[in-house]
Amino acid sequence: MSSREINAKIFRYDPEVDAEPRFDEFKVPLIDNMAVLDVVMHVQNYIDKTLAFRCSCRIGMCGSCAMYINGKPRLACRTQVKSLGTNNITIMPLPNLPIIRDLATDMEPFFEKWKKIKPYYVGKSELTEPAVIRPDSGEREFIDQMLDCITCGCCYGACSMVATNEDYIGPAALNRAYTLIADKRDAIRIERINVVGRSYGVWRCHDQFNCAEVCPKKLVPTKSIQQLKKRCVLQKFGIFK
Amino acid sequence: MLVNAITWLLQRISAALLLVVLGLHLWLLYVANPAEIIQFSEAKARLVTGSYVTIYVLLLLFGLFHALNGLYTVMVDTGLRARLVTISILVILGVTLFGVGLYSVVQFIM
Repeated sequence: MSSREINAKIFRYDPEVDAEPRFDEFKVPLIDNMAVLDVVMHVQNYIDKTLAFRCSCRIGMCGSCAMYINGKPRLACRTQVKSLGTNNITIMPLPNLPIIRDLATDMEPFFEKWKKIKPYYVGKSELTEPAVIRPDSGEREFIDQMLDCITCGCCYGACSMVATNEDYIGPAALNRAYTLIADKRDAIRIERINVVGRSYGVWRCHDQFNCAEVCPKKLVPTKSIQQLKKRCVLQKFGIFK
Repeated sequence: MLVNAITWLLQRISAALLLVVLGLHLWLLYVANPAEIIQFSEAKARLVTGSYVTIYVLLLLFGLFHALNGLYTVMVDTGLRARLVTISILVILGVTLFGVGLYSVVQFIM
């Protein structure tokens, strides 16, 4: 194989047709600053039009193109081929999610759990004036760090606890819950605490940091989950209200 | 939720206490003890004093709780459903093992 050529080994599986998954290999010309998304696009455009994958924004904003690239969940659009350090690329669908076809996974289990924590802000109805929270307050700074989630599912795919138990809410939803529970203006903090404090909520996280390792936005959901555990205990002792 | 929160908290407390008593055990055995080879007769002599017995009973208590609670957590991680039955079995196992350990320590005092 020439150094100007990529050997892409791509996972292929159509659950409605194929008895078993397989890998197809494709030779793709290497272009400067090429991302893994460009590789799968090249395959689909010029070699095999039946290859299925999901993508949208191409700038790391929408979180659609998360794939398992060379043994790690990553955003295909933000992963430069050069950064992988090899021209041999193995691309698989995101783990821990059902496969629709080839590299496209069904995100429904992920978003069902996302919905459980009510991922939207609920304001206190008795407030007539906007609450004043200084942007430089410690509390605000910690929430801000965790707000950039694009729901790509990389953390969910990397989490060994989700792999062990599909009922576990998972790092993304718990991280989102934390940003709302830590917000003093939120009206349903206790309701949220009760959801994340259930058996398959925060207690299933064992601080392995798989989520933090793969997050394309450099978030650390483990840190949020630890904060949630602390708040669950404090709430049980009547300290957190 | 209460059980989850309390067991999580107690797991951390027992871990911290284990560090203390296990540290004491190692220090007493390998630093404070001048003998190069641990002799049964010396161990027997140590175990008649109240402070040593207290340390070992606490080590037994914290170690058993930490191990069995950890085992329960692993089982829940892997999808355990019959929780009440499992907790009951683990409590009986823990109390039995603690009884056996306590009986063994008491034999040195008697």
